Order: sequence, then structure tokens, then C-alpha cells
Amino acid sequence: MNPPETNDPLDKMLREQNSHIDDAGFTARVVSALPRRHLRFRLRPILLLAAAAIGSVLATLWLPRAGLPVLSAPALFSLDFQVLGPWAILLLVAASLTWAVIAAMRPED
Amino acid sequence: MPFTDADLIARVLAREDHNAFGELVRRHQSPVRAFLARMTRGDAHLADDLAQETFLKVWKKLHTFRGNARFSTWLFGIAFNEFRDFARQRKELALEDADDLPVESAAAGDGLLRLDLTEAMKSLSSSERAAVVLCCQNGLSHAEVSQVLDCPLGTVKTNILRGKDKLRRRLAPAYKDYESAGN
Repeated sequence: MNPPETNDPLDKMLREQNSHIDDAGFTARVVSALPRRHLRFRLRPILLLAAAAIGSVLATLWLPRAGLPVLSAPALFSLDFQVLGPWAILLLVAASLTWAVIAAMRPED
Repeated sequence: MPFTDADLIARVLAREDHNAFGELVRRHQSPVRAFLARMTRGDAHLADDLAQETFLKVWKKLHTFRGNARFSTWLFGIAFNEFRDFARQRKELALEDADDLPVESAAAGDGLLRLDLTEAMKSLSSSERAAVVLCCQNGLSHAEVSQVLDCPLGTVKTNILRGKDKLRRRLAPAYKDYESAGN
């Protein structure tokens, strides 16, 4: 929405003074100075997801072969690392993966 | 049919199309460079450097353009930020009111009056100059100017009124001749 045209001579003078500036090579200078924009944008999600995947593999290797220990109320309160450790690692991996996916999807500032 | 700004933006984002971006620059370079020349008090070289930085920033940040405002409004916002950042670093172009700057006396005749207007514009503070140039020369609405300058609507209106009042006072003698000549 443009401001209403007025009969004010000052407004008229100001509008008349708004002359066109010749390009004179300006556009060419700008275009030749353009940096690569998308490369970093594509690399970041790949790096994040790769790091998260490697972390997940390492965490899986560290988990006990017999599977996750059963969580019960006494085990929870016992603060036994044998029981809580694998669960803590699993939660950490899940949180890291979620964060990596969100960060990878967000556009760069 | 010529491409719209939205078409060109879509091509730049999808294919990193330099030609499409060049067309956007070609379309908008004149108002942006003229605006920055006003803001730098007529320093064309500095204005062009700031305009180039503006367009490079546009290239990097184009994916953040939401399309809820005109592209030109968004562009003026980036240009004004470039000027403001530069002015903060350089004290000589600080955002102070330059009301006491000497201005050559007005003389009769349309050509001279134009020169006087250019000189008189230099006497406005940056906020007043930006508001007057964007609204009265580039045809942005008060709301759009408020968006570009990132300040309340009331402040924009005050700056335009105050700026135009200063211009009238500076141009008083020649301005009367201009009015009486039926312009």
C-alpha cells in the first residue's frame, strides 16, 4: 500500500528527485562476488547425521549383549550402574539423534 | 511474460541460479543505491560498497525471506541495517541529528532548487532522512517504513513530519518561488 499522492510541492519535488541510477556494471560486480551458498547448507546436515549415526553404533556396541536390564522400582532407587548405565546411554543416544535431526532440518542463520 | 520477484527468488533457492539473482539485483539496484547515497550524504562510492554488501547479504539470507512483505521492503531493511552497522563503526556518520550542518542558501530556479533539496536533505538526522526518502521518494507506506527501520509507526510519522518541516524551513525562499510558479 503506497502513501496517498498529495499536492504538497515538497512531496512533488521529492518524487521528481528520485531519478534512476544506471547499473554501470554494478550487477556484474555483485554476481561475480557471490560466495557459494548451498555447499555449507548441505554439508551441515550430512555431518550432523553422520556423527549421530557413528555415536549410535558406538553406543550399541557398549550395550550389554543380553539386552537391556529390566527396570524395577528397587533397581531405580538402588542407583546401580549395571542397571541404570545402559538405559542412560540409550536415552543419551535418542536425545542426540533427535537433536541432530532438528538441527539438520533448521536453515542456517 | 517476465518473471516476478517471487519466481526469481524460487529459482535462486532451488538451483543457486546466478542469472536469476542477477536479474533481481538489476531490478532493485537503483532504489537501493539511491537510498544508500542519501543515507551517506551523497558519498556514491560508499553507497555502492554498502549496496554491494547488502546484495551479498541478500544472497546468503534469501532462504529467510518469508514473502509476507514486498521483496523491496525486505531489501531496504537489509540496506538500512548495513548503513546503521557502518555508521556505528564510523563516528563521522553517526546517527546523530545534524541540524546544525551549514547549508548553502536557496536560490531561485528549479535546477538550483533541486541542488538545494539535496543539500537540505543532508541536514536531516539519519532517522528522519531514511523515513522521508523511503516514504516520499520510494513510495513505501508508513507501516512498511516502520518495518524497514524497525521502529514504531508513531516514530515514523513523527520523523517524516519533522523531516519535511526541516526541509521546508531550509528551502523557504526558493520553495516560495517554486510554489508560486504553479508547481
